[in-house]
Amino acid sequence: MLSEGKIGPAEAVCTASILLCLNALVSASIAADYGLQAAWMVLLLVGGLSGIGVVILMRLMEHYPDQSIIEVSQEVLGPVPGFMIGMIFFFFFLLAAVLFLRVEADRIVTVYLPDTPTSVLVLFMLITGVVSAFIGLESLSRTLHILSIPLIASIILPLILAYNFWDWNNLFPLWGSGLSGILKGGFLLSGMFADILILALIYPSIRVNKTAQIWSKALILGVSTNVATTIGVLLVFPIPNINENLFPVVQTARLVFLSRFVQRVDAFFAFFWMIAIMLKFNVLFYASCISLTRLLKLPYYKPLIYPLSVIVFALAFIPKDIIQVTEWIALGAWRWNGLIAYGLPALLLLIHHLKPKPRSIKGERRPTDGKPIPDPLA
Amino acid sequence: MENQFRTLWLRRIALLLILSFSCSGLTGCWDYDEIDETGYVLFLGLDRGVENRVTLTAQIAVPGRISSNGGGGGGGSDTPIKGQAFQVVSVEAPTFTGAFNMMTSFVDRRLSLKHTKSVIFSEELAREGIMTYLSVMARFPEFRRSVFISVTRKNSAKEYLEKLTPTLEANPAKNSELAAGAANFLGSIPAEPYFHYFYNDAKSTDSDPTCFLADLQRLIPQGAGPSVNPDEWIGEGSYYPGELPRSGGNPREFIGGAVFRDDRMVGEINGNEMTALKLIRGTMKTFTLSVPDPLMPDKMIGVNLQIRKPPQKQIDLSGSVPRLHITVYLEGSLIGMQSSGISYENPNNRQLVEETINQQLNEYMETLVDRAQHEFQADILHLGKTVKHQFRTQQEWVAYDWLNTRFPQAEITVEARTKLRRFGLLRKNAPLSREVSS
Repeated sequence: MLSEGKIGPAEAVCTASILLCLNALVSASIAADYGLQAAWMVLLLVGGLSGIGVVILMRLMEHYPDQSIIEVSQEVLGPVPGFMIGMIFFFFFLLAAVLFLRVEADRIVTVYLPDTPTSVLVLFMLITGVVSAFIGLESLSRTLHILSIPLIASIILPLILAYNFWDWNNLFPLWGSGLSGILKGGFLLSGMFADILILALIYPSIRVNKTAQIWSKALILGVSTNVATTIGVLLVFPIPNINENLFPVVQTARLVFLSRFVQRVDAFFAFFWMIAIMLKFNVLFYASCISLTRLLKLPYYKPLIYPLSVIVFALAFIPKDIIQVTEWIALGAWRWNGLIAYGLPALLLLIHHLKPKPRSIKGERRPTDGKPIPDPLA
Repeated sequence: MENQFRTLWLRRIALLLILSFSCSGLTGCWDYDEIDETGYVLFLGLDRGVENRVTLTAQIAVPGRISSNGGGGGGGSDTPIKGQAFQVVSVEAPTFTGAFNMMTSFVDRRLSLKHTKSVIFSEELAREGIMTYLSVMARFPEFRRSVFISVTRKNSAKEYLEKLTPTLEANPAKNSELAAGAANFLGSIPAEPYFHYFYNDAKSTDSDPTCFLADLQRLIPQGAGPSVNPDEWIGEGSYYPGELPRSGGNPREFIGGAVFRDDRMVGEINGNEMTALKLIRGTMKTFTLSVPDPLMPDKMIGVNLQIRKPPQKQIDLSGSVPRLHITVYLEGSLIGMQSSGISYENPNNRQLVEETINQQLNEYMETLVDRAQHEFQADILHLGKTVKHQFRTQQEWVAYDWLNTRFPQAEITVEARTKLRRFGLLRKNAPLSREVSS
């Protein structure tokens, strides 16, 4: 049985929420494509839809408190179909890590390090991923627990400091593209917060109090950061300028001018953004390692770190350019990830309820049979 | 025990190797940026070229001279600071980026736009449309949106940059910031001259942009221009750049603004109209105004005014044309009067001054509104930003066609409401002794 160490509820919340919060670096621009001035409403709707998905996910996991989503799928569906579903979850995390690695490497090259080859940045980010995967979940989540407040503040604070560029008129017409546009945006971006699936993957490692609060806190923190960021960016960039902007938060931070002595603060915030980017990649890379380990029922995940890092490095260079990788995230991952993160658990929950439950001698329903699952590869 | 010891040391060595390897990346093999190897462009000038499509002029900082001049020397002198803190170079090229590359080939350092403060377009180029250049700048990572945008009136941007001679402030970047910061206490220069606002307004469906209007000091010496009678006067905001009857100081002049329709310059407004523009937009902070003395029209009164609250805009879109009424609320202090013996602190007299101020500001605002609607056909007043609140969706707003159809037809009325609350250090104005006896 794989042992990843134990983390507390607060650490679990921080680990999941940082994945959602970092979407705010670009979500305003993407949401504005659908909702225009009502981009923030689009994100609220995405948050609401994600909330429904999270409730389903939470209900499913409550039935299997000592297992991750990978093992749950095998337990509910049986060895072979469960293995296939588990593989989808593994690819979910692997591709999330790959796309995030590539898009952030390209963004850093574009804004801050124009002469540095993308491959060098990808390599360095990957090294941090490898090191943190070796260190393990406990250290990673505790680091996130300590740093999450400054990291989230580094996204929100520049938007507040740019207050002398705020124009409340930018939020009007209030309904932006109209109800149809908002609904369309809400559904097409419903997978934006699907990374919360990480909680289902590290579920057995969460020490105590596996209550709804962990899920809800992580989601609310992620959604509110994205909504606040979108409003902050909209106050500075009107339609259509927000739509053409690839780095709305960075551009807003570059505008900050409070006096001759308080300007060019983006260089200060960039330091925190880099750390946040590294940590999010580290979590996603670790999740890829763990999901594959659980899928293959291996006792240790560390032997998989190097092979997976080579795979991630290779896959990161499949997208042609920053526009393509941004589209893959916005039009691919954020559109369909909801089906994986919420749709598949809904299916598993449905089957769980439909399946005849084995009963104990006294006739009480057992929460989980707890038997080892047959290895499909054996 | 021995195995544990070995493992511990192996881990330490591995950690040391990883750290060493990481440190090699921190040295910045690709993106190192040595200050003494970089030429920081402070001002950029763009003109229509003669030998090629565009002339790019760059004012490049000479950091050593900025630090030596900026350390308190030179203050208070009207003579140019010795050893300019910048160097001006120019080149003609097919594009902005091409010109930048060509320029790098004949200056000693690699040029950088990271510290660029201002971009100056010639009027000729501005009238053709400047989005070609602005979109390049918006894309360029080194370029910040907090850069100031200016248009030169009669001189080319190249001449303008070549003749800039800071007098009191040697640091050109600080010089530029101080000039823009003067908008906080001068009514006659734009409050938001940033690239950010210009670019946003040029592309938005609710407003049109304005920017700094600049030029070099006129060639006619002070006192050699058309004379005025003793009872005549010309308001301080009635001028355009390059027309001020003055001597000394920096040869550049900022007053009024350049008016754009999308990205094409369509006209210019003087200092008084810029005051009106800032009042209507609600971007005015504080300004001084000279008005005729209501009881002695050949004398003048000086007042310092501030915005009391944001301008109120009443909108009626029910008729065939939109109707707007704008009320501007001001308060201020009487800071000077040429007449003696009249106490404007007295409530009745005070009301007369307030009415005179209102009349004058109404006149400025009506002139500006009329020019914006009929001469420029550009919503430089940013009324569209408020009118669009009446619409639920962007589609409805775009279909309303504010900029092209509705704004030029709108019935716009303006009203200034001023309250004088302070009167300087005097409680009342005692007459001269002979005035009392007469």
